[in-house]
Amino acid sequence: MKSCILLMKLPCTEGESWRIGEAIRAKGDTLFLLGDAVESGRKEYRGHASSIVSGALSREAKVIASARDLRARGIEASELQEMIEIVEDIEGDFINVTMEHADRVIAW
Amino acid sequence: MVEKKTLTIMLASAPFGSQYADHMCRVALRALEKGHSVEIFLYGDAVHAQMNQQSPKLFFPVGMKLQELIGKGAKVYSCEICSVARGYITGQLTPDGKKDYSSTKVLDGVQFTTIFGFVESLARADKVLSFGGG
Repeated sequence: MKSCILLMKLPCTEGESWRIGEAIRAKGDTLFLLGDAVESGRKEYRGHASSIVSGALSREAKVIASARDLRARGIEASELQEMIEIVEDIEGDFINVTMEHADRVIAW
Repeated sequence: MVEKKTLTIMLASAPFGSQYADHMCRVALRALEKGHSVEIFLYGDAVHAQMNQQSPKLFFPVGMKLQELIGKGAKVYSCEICSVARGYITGQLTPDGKKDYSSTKVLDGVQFTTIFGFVESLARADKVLSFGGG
C-alpha cells in the first residue's frame, strides 16, 4: 500500500498531530510539506516533526517541500535536510501522486 | 492519457485565518487542470469562503479563486445549516415547499446541501481530502 501525506501544520505548535506523518513507512510513500510544514525540513529543527521527516527519508520515502513556501519563509535549500526535494508546483505533484499512485491519502 | 477521477475535498477552516483555504484552492485547481472532477464541501466557518465581493488585498483571494474553480467545472457545495447560522441564507420553506437558498451574499454557482449531501459526494469520490478544522 502506497501512502501519501500532505502536511501543512506548523511543526512546533502541532506536536501530537504530526504523528500522522509516521504513516510514511516505506519506499514508494510520499510526504509533502506545504505551507508552515516546510519548517520541519530544516536541519536545525529539533522537534518531533523533524524526526518524522528524517525517518521518512531513512526509509527511502520521498519528502517533497514547496519552493514557494520556503521562499516565503526565507529558508534556503542548503538549510534543509539532504534528500528533501524542492518543487515549484507542489500541488501538481501532489495531485499526480494522489490520483494516480497512492492507495491511501491524508491531508493534515 | 490520465484516467479521469473524482476528488472530493472538505474545507473546514475559515478563509484568511489560516492558509488551508489557499492550499485547498491551489490543489483543486491543479486537479481540474489535470482533467479530474472536483467536488468541494464548505463546512463550519469555511462557508465564509462563499461570500461574494471579498476584498482581501494582501491575502490570498479565496472568493475569487473559488469562483474560478466553479468556472472551470468544480462543484462547490456549502453546508446549509452552517450558512443559515452565519446569515448567508434563511433556509426557510417557501410556499411551494422548497427551501429558500436565495442570497445576495453568495458567489454564483455555490450549491447548498446538508452533511448527507457530503456523504453522497464521498460515495462518488475516488479520493478524499480534508483541509483544516483539526
